[in-house]
Amino acid sequence: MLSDRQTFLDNVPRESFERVARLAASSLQASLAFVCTVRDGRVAVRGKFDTTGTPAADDEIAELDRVRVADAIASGRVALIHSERGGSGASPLIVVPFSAEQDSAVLGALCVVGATERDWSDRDVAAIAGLVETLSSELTLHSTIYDRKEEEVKLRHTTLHDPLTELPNRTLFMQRTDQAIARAKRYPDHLFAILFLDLDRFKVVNDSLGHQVGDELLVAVARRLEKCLRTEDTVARLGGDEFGILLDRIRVVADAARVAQRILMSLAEPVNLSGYEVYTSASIGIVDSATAHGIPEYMIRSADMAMYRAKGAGKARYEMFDRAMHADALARLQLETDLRHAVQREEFIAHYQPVVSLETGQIAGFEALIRWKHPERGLVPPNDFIPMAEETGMILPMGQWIMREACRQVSAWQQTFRRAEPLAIGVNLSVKQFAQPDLKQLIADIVETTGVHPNSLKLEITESVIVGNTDHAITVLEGLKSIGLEIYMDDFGTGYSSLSYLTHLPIDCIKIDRSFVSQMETKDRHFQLVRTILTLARSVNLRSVAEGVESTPQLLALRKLGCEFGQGYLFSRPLPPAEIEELLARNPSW
Amino acid sequence: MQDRRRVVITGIGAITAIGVERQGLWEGLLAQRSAVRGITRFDPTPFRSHSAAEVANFDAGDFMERKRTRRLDRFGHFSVAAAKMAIGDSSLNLAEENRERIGAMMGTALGGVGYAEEQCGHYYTKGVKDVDPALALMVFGGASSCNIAIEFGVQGPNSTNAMSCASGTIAIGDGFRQIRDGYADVMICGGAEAPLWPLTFGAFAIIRAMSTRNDDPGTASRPFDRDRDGFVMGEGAAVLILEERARAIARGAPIYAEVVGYGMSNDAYHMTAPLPDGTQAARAVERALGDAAVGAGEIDYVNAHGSSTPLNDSTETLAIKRVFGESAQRLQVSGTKGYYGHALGASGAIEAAICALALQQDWLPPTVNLQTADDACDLDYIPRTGRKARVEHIVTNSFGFGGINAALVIRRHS
Repeated sequence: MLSDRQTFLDNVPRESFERVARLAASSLQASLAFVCTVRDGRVAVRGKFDTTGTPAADDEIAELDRVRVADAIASGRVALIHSERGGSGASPLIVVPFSAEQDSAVLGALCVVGATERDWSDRDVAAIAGLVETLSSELTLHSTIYDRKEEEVKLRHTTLHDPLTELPNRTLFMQRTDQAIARAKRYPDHLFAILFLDLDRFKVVNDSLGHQVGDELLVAVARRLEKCLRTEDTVARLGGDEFGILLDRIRVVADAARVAQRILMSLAEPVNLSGYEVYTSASIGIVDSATAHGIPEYMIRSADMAMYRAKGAGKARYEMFDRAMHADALARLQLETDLRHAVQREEFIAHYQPVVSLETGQIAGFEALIRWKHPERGLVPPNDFIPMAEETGMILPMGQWIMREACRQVSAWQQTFRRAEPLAIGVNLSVKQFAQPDLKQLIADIVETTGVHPNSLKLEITESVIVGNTDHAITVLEGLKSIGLEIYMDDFGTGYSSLSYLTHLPIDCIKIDRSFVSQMETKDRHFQLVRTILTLARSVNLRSVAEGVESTPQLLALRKLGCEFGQGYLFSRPLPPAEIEELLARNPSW
Repeated sequence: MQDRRRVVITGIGAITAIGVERQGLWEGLLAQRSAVRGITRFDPTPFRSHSAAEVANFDAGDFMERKRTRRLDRFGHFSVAAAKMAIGDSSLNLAEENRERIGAMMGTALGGVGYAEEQCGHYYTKGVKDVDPALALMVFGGASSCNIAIEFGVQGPNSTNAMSCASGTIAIGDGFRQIRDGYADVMICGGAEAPLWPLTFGAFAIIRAMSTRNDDPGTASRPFDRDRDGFVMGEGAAVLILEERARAIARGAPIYAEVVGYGMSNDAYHMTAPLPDGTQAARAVERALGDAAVGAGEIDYVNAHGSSTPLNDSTETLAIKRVFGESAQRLQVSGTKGYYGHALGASGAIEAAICALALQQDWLPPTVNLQTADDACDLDYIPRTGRKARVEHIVTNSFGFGGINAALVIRRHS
């Protein structure tokens, strides 16, 4: 702590000391005055003046005085040494130690050397003490400023570094990449590369050995990565088990590949963690500044894409980002921009796929599906934009739009096409939407303003909504149900499909995944599975919708098994509203 | 509503053994007689089968410049001539159209193989100087839709598929989707086939796919009959003008019917034999129904593939029962290949044209030559005599060698 307290002294400007020393020398008519500071037991002179206020030629002090000064400082008290008449010829000396206020540690002393025949009066001592006090106040100020600066530096370090591995974090990595890009722009020959590294099977380590071991592994990997790199390179933890490496100033692209190879070899050695010998490997994507540049986000994403290709090619390898991927990436970037506009301009339309009551053979309702009507590309398939919307969070405004639109539409149909049981509308709810704190209010508002019968609104959720925090999910679902709507479990049978869901969750209906239904007529196992799911659902009072019904025999089998509803291409593909209206007017029966 | 594109049939061109042009085809149907005869085009005696449905009374020069007829073979003549008839029938004025929004999709099983066979003979007997210099550009399947594009200057989506006996249906289905999905506003679609050359014909005799009822050609093609013994080869073409409904109405075009659904599948089983349980044939129909959002119970009439081979007709019956379940018994089904034989890649298009006309004329053509019921074929096949009937929804099937299955749903336009 003491040494910490003293480091700020290095930043105190020399003039602060010199001013005091000069004043002391001139006001006391001393032959010499100087300030010395102590750090780690070593005394340093910070300003030395003679009577005329002229700086002394050197910063040396006499050997004898040095000892006296050191003693005085060590004692922490004012030392008054009068002239020794007829003695050694040593000069009278006054040493007044000083410290910063509110801190007793002695930082140094103001020393005044008189003429040999001089004694020190009380007034002399008081004058010097006054000067020291001034100096102390000033040092306090410096110390406070210094502390604040230190804190800032520390804060900057923590905001730019990952606390676990102490590596730079994503923000700093972006900054450095940005700088590298700027350099590459200025100097055409400047070549650099970014490596995007993702550990293979890290989740397995985390899940099987615990987060503690997982964290240790990340630290160990960080140290190994550092060892594989030059000091001027940057290795950063970008999040989770992802690392970014910036190789600035490489000669040829192959250099980056060599580094990647070195990293792969280094990671191939097992890591000893809390007594476990853990084997790890990584997939690495490489992008060089000659192939792709522009903005850091784009370069990092490009490397990320190459990394995914490495994963796809079998992991524990590296892949270079190439021109073809560049084109893909540009297209993706464009699509993302377009999607943002689409959200603002509401370029979405709703299509509806009929859900048929297998009991009556008539249309019981619909599942609403969002379609994007791109101004130039026409109808974009959902798979091309839904995952992107999920990633970027644009799914929230989109999800809200489709819910409002579907409710509005079905509300209108409920008026025109009156049925004993009003037409139902299923709307998908994504994980991100489910996490919205004001979800219930949003939906309640939509139900209220569109006038849809709340009981005919079916929210279709997937297991991923529940996984992780079932209790919370139950609370949210119960809140939603209190509005009056129903909860459907989508894609049932594909995930964990825990039977406890059926009993614990406040759901009303399950949608049996198409993969079972579509093969139930050819594969006995699938048939038996569907039968069992239906039996189970019925035993806990849940209704069922069979998804992906494609053939008449499937329809007949499902009907015989007592499945309540069916949906699929046998009945209809998703249709635009006008065609649904025509369908409702014809009112076909299957 | 802007995002809703419906597709209607506004023109029909046909070249068949029972009649040429829309009017000829319809009159031929009303006559309820088979056009199958002993082959006159070449000597069929080396082969087991001696009958075919030949197109007589067709002169390509009536439909294009003489000079141009020499650049095309018979299959090319059929393609361009049928397209010209259809365009004329639809009263499309191409000069005023944005022809980038008009495309052509055709189907042909064999393309110019027959003509290639003939030229092959020239090469072996008289050498290369006696080979038609345009041979290379005549025989490839794509010559069908490409010559249509050139003849009429239509620059939209263009392809010719070669999916054997289903190719005409596939061309119409794919063309229908081009319009529905907004890639084109008008599609010239259909099929053309000119296989009546000795070896091309004989190849099918060698695999014993064709009828050997050589003593009575007029009854050789007898779909669903107990005594059927194989198909009878025909030739010809049919082209439909498919058009986006709103613009067809706007220009006051004649509208025969609406195409509402299309589905296809492959047996993935055998090159000639159909998958015995008919599941994939059924699946194609189910897909077409789903595509149209029409319930099986809404279908009134099925124009069957009914090729008159022992395996097809019983399997097709099985497939129909799979799809229609109980309602199969009140369904009216007919196979029209008894009239004009099996024109392979043109058949699906000819039959789509027949369905459109049946909807317009309120008359269902019979299955000619169906004399004795087969135990495995126990549906209402409209035997021998056609019926006055106002139907709403029609399915037309085409199943082909290679295991290909395709179906269209066509409905009365309203």
